[in-house]
Amino acid sequence: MLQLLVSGLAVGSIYALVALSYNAIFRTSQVVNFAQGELLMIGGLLTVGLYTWFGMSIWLVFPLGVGLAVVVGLLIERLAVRPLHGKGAGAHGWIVTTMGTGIIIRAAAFIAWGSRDAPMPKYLGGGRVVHIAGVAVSEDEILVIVAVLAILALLELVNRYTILGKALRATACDQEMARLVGIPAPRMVAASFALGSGLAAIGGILLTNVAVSSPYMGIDIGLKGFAAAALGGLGSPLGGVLGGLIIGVAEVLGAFYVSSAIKDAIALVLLFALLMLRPAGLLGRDVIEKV
Amino acid sequence: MSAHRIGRAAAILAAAMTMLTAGSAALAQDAVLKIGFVGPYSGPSAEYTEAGKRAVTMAVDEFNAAWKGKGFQAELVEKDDVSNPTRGINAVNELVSRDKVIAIMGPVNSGVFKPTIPVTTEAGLLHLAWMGQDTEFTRPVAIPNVFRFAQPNFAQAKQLASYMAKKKGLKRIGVIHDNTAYGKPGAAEFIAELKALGVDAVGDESFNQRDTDLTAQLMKLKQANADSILVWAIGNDQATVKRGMLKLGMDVPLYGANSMVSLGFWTVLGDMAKNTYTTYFDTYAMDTRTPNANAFAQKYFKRYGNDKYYGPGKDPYFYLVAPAQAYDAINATLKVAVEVKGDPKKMVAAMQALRDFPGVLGTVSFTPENHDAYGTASFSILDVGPQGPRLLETYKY
Repeated sequence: MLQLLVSGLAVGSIYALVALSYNAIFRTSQVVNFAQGELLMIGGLLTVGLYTWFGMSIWLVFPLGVGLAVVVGLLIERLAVRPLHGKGAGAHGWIVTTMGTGIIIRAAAFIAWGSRDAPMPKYLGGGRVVHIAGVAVSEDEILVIVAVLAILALLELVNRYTILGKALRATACDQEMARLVGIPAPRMVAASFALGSGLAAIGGILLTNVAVSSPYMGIDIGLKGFAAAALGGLGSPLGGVLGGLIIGVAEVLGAFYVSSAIKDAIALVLLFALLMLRPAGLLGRDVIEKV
Repeated sequence: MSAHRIGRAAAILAAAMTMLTAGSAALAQDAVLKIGFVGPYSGPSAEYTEAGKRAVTMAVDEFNAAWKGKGFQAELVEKDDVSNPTRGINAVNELVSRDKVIAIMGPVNSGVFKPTIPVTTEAGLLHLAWMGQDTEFTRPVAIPNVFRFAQPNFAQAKQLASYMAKKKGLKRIGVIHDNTAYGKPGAAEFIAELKALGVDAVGDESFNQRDTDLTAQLMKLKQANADSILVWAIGNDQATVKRGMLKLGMDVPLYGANSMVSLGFWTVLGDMAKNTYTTYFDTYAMDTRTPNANAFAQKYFKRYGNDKYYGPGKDPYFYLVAPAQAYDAINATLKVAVEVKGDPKKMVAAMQALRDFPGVLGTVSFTPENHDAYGTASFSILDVGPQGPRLLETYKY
């Protein structure tokens, strides 16, 4: 049982990281960027490609991978989301534009990358297995879990104790009020896109260590990350992490105790049931709209 | 312009016209043999389309060079099916009705190939499965116009089951497969073959392509005391199974479908690829390559160099099998096309009458009952291993 839990937590940690990236954007912009999976893919592919085929140092390829994803994220905000703001397009507008952008990015990556699979570079651990209290855990799994916890802690610190964090929180609460007190809300929205894109790229880099990279690596993870964010409550960082871990553990336990053939269905049924009980998600806040 | 210059220009023009007319006459003598080629040009299966396209392009160029001015020229008509059955049917319909091809290679994916069969069968057109391994294409009864140039699932299932149960005496075999149209039926056929030999699989687990963690599935097989594991999935995912086994300390042999012989498998595993076995063409095992296989490898290398199908270095492993299948398929097709002078209505009968055609992967002969190019004699048990696949046993079931 403990072995399954640890594996579930490791799987769920990646979902959690992607959920965090969705939340970072949603908090300030109220937009779900459906191209998050592709931003994850950009970070992963660029990093693994530069490291493997150009022999660049990991200290250089990591910032480059994250940096490019951030630039693309900012472009998405500027070109696919901001123009729709205040134009009466509602949610339909950004759903279409962000989904479309994701498809374009994937197609571009396929043209640039081809159909090849990149090797797993093992720059983040050699895949060795350690035994803790009778549980076999690979270095990769430890790395993913620790990385997600560290990122969560860092985000919380930035959120609470920095000017940027406070400005982001103010923008998340009320963009108009934030603007009135001198906070450049549009820039804060752009900053949240940069943050969300960077987090997705880190997820991609971590993923390259445990799976073969390809232009399609972001599709499933992107969807499950969104499910995790919805389960935890869109806009709640802690909720997103919790949602990711719950889905990861549910998948592994479901595969073991019920059937591996329906493990995805088990996680989705869980999501469905929880959202029926708490539509705003585990830690999400109910939004009361004035009419 | 002077009269002299006008006269010279007219002479040059006349000479050019004469040459063009002569050229057209020579070209007009060469009948064009149009062959359709269908597969996904994007998505995970695109690498197979690409592999086949490289080989058929090479074969068409060779054919055209040899037959220029002698009556025939070949031409490929390519269609993208994006791995979608509906798009596959549309592509094949276009090839039949609009492009008037004399034969069709593909689609690549079995799940896309299958629904296109009625279209070509109705048209009486030669249809080649150069990648599709689905048993139903040729068994239990051969479809009249469909011929396969690939290792069929039933041959893999029979040989692996027989080798594991009868030769190695394994009694507690655990099965794991991906949830696709490739993994599910392949594993089911393997389990059925095991059952026919009096052995029940101790587990039947599944996963999604590209899953990164298979702990739950492998723990179930471990708890069932599996003495070996059979995996039916693409190479990358087979490697994930092996990694999971190593993590859980499962020191039992891993047998797999022939996709274990892929760059993806080694890419992921490297030195961890020990105690892994499959069934495949022995014509390309590192220590049993045939002259035909070597000749093809050299030609391929000369044209494409160290691409991902050839592999690294000068000593290719097994990666060239997919291009070689396509190369054999189109060369056999062009041979019969010449025999029937490009008449599409006679292509099927001519292909069925093909005997002792010297392919890269084996000598090909068809009969009304057998539409599989490569008989079971072509396949052996290979030790996949970290150093590249080597012949383990020429085991025939």
